[in-house]
Amino acid sequence: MSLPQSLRSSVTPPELELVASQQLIEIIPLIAMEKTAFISGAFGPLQPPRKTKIPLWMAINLKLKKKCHIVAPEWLAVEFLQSCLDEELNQPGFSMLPFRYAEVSKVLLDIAPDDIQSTDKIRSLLKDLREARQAKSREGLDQLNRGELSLSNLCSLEINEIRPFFVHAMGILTHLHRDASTEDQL
Amino acid sequence: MSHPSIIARKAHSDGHTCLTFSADGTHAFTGGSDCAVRIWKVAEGAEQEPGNATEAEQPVTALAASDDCWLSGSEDGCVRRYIKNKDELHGDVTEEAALSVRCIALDEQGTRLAVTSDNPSAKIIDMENTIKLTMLHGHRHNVRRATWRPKSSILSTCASDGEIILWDLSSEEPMILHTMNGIIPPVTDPSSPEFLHDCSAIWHPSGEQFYVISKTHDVICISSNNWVQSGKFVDKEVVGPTTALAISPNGAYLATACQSTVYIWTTDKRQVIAKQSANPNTVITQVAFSPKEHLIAWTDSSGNFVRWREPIPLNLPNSVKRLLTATTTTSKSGSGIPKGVDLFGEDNGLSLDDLAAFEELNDPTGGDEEGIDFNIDDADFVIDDVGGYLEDQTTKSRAKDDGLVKEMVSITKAQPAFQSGSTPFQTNKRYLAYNMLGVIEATRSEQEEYNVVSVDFFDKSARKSYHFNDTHKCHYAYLGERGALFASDTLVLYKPYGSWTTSQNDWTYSLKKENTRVLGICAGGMTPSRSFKNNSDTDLMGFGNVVLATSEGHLIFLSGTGRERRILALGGDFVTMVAGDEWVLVVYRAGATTIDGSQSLCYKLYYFDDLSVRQRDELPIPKGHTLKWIGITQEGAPVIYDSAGLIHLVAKHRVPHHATWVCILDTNLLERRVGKDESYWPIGITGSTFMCLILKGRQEHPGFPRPLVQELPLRMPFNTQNEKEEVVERELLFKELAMESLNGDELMTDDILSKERAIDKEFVVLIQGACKEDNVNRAVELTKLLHNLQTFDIVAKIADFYHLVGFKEKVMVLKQVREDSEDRFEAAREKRRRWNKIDTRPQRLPDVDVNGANSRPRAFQDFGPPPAIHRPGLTRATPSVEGTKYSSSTSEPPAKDTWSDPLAPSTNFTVSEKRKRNDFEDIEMESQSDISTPMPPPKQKANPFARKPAVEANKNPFARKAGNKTILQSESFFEKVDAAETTPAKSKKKSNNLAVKTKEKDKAEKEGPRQQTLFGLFGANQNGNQKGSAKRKTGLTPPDEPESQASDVTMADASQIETQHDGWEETQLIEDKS
Repeated sequence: MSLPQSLRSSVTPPELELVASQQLIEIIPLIAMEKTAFISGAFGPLQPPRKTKIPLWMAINLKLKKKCHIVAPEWLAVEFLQSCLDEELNQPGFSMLPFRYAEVSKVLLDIAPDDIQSTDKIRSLLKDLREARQAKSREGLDQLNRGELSLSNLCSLEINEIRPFFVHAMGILTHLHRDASTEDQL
Repeated sequence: MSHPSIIARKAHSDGHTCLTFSADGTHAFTGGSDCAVRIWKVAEGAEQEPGNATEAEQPVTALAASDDCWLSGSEDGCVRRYIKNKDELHGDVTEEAALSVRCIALDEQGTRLAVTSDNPSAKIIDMENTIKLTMLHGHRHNVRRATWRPKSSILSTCASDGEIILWDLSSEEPMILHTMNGIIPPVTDPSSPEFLHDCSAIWHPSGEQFYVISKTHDVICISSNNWVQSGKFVDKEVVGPTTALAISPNGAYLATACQSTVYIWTTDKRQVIAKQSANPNTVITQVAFSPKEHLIAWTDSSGNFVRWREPIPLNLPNSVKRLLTATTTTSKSGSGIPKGVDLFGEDNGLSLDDLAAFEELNDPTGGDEEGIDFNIDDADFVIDDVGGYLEDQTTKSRAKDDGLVKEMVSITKAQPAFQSGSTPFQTNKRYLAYNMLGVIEATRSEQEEYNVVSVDFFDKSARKSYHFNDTHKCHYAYLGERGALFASDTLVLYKPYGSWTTSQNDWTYSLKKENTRVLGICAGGMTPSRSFKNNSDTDLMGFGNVVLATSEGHLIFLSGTGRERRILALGGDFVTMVAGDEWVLVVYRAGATTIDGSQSLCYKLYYFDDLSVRQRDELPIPKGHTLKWIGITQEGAPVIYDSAGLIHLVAKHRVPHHATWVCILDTNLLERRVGKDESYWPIGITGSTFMCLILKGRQEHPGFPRPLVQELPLRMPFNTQNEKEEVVERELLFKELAMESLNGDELMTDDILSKERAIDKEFVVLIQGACKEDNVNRAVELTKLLHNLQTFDIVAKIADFYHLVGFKEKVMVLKQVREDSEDRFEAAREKRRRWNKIDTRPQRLPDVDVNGANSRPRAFQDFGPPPAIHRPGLTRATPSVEGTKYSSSTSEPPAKDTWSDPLAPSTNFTVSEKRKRNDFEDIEMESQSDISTPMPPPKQKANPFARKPAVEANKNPFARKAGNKTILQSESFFEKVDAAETTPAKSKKKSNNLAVKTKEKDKAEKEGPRQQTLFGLFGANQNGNQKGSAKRKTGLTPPDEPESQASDVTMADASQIETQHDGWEETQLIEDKS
């Protein structure tokens, strides 16, 4: 890789957010628009009050101009998050959350708090979830070995978070293992 | 009121408290962490000294009372029995081995007691013989609460892990009916604050459902039919965990405690009707309704005992009076539940609906609500025609419902007029109109002087939302494509959507006659193609059309600018109407409702342009149901929704008198409806989606703030389960609708093509399925329905794949047939035209037009008119010609007149004037008049035979044929002809022409010498002109005299003069020919 070491570590959260904004989300438009071709595909037509699925970046753009209402995804509701949190606390594995839940929920809570019900509760639940999951991924350190690491249902932001350290640690483990085996040979 | 409505009293020390009423409701028992039970006389105030029962050694956790005793359970593990309403201990019922009793529950008869303690198995104790125990093993965690289902031997127990088990205890051996997990929150630690929250299943007195506090701290309703959640009690105001709940003895109200406030809900509509805040920062641990009195009591975690008298607002039936119809929708299915009639009070049998309707009808000024509240549910819909709203009426209708007595006396209440998409006032707001374009809301001002009307569009880019103060208090509004319409009783205001300066186009219209009211309004018009911000479109398309229905039975049609067009009589009671692009659909009741419950509603579809009725038919509403909503789909077809939950669409509404009703959705069969108690409030239909608001429970109108518009897929309620087939048929229906709306010459649109392609794809799948099942006949049938030729090839491939050689051959034959037959789009267009022919024919009626239409093409297709451009060139002949041309053009108008005016004098006059000139000028003038009015030549054709009688006898419009003039003029012309005849060129005239000519010649000869003088001159001219004209004719009509063609060759490079002369020479020739 040609990048200097300092830049090589990991993707930044804003970058992940950018990636996540390619995801489709449902909106209720307030303006009418024909089906329009974008680089990422054709979206629309916008016909209020019909719901349409458009990429998150477009929804953000329209929302900031007050040209649409965003329909909160099913998982961004108190009940779902509460059950996830319960699962998180009671079960060993990670709960089934959308892969980019952290990015999407952050964006939506930032730009469209008025379209989401009981935002405060959701915010605190998300924080709890994040902490619970973080604790679990820390526990995962125990199982760290040089070969593989399987953490199903881990989300992009969390992977991103642990990646630099885990990769490094696994590298070291591999190194140690190799040393051991060479010693054996000797 | 002798007592204050709230009586609070400190009863116990801080901690968990419990509460129960004695069976007769005279005493209340409270227990608390101070190990005592206090016995309160309900009738006495706060100052009373309660009785004490202090036998318990640990905090009292549970209380129960029956007809002959009361019981207390304590953390010391004892359940003690006391003598009725007294503090005398009767004895211990049972003793748990040092485990805290958490709940005790007596069944209705007071014979069995359920006891739960910190132990996974609950106990059933026979009260007659307290040694007789039944243990209920099934829970894995400590059982916290137990409740009996009324009128049955079903016990529900709630454990600390969140499990609910329903036990059937009718037999000796307890049976687990059902286990539910994850509904109530798991709380294991008795010291945690959540442990104070009630987790028991509170049964509705009918036993059809129970209410429980869910994990999310909401109160949910679980139906006993299938044990799934059927509803939820949600309100904006109620936030935070619910800690206790109780149901009123009649089952109409539910009390919940949340954040130190007690809320009272109606169980049918799930709306908060009253609330009372208690001591802040305390947790209300138990709420109870008095079994016999209109009273609620509760105890909280700081030991207070509070009574609230008459908690239910006075306008609603109170908590103890038995309601007949206030059970839930499932009441019919709940078997074994007696629906006996209790005659308690005056308004005993009154349902909430009836009450509302009653109030409205009794309120003469209540125009605001009138015509809105038509949603009276079928149970109360049949009314007695003699009695009013008293109980005997309800008993009758109830009896009818039970199928015991055949209802004979009552008639069906007629559905009042209403506007689709409007609601009555809810507190101070209401919807006046709600459709696919937007919403009109009215908000009452504080002093009720005016309403604030706000018009809000979904598509903010097309139209601008606005609001205004409405001093007339409009109670009708309609949101049309081209303007918003408002109406109070007599005044109508139309606000077309215009530019930013909106008000300048507004107009008002008022009914002058006394005692006439507006019953319904609507405004239709073409959907604007583009934004309203640029005026171009609006200016041309106008503001649509406005229709008012009045109480006189009239429909007043107005133009979009307020011009009164026509008043039509409807001939029935107006119910509602809706306007589309070019029509208005009016629903009315032609006669009376029928005895068996039918509303007998009909509709008429009027076209705006000619105000004709294109469709008239009955509305397909089942008996006992009413029309709830009427609207139009985005494609422009009318749709209705009735109280039975069906949506019907008018197909073929453009074909006069051939419309059909198609059922496109049965909301009762919706998948999402399963296990939920909800109804739908339609807004519109777009493509194959049904846009609606979802109403929870028995809510009838959407509330505020505006709920989200939900999209439900349409599905024709086919009985066969094959979904694909339903999809294909539905898509075909919509394609047909799209085809019908094509105008005149259009064959198809891209949209239709893509629709067809999609349908073909579905067909291919179906054909494949049929092939798989070896059902060749089905496959052939489907193949016949295919649209595109290419699809046949695909089908042939499928046939190949399944080795169906015979089918493949058939496909190829079908393909061949399709290839050979007429293009299907053209056939469809032809059919559309045929359908509409009835309408187009009358436009061709007038005779005059027929004449003109016939004569015109014949003349000029045969000979071709000289283009007017050539005329100025005539000046080239001589200076004198130019002068004459000028003079001739001045004399043109009179010449023209002769066509329409058959009177001879004027024509004679012009002719005589002409005669003064030389022939050359004369001819020129003639030709000019011919050019300007292309009529004469054919008439001349006819004329040779009828000339003289036409002039003299036929002085009727038919004789106005210009023949008169030409013939008169031709006197001079034929003189020239005479001269021409001397030349050999003229010898070829047809015989009939000659006949005329000879006549005219005779006439001309009488004129004598004057023509002779000009003869030579003309003859020379004539010769040249003849050639020129011949040349011209070759261009237009090939079959001509070869002789002139020959001369044409010689004149190939003829000068301008010659060609210029063509102009008039040609007409000359025509005359010659004739």
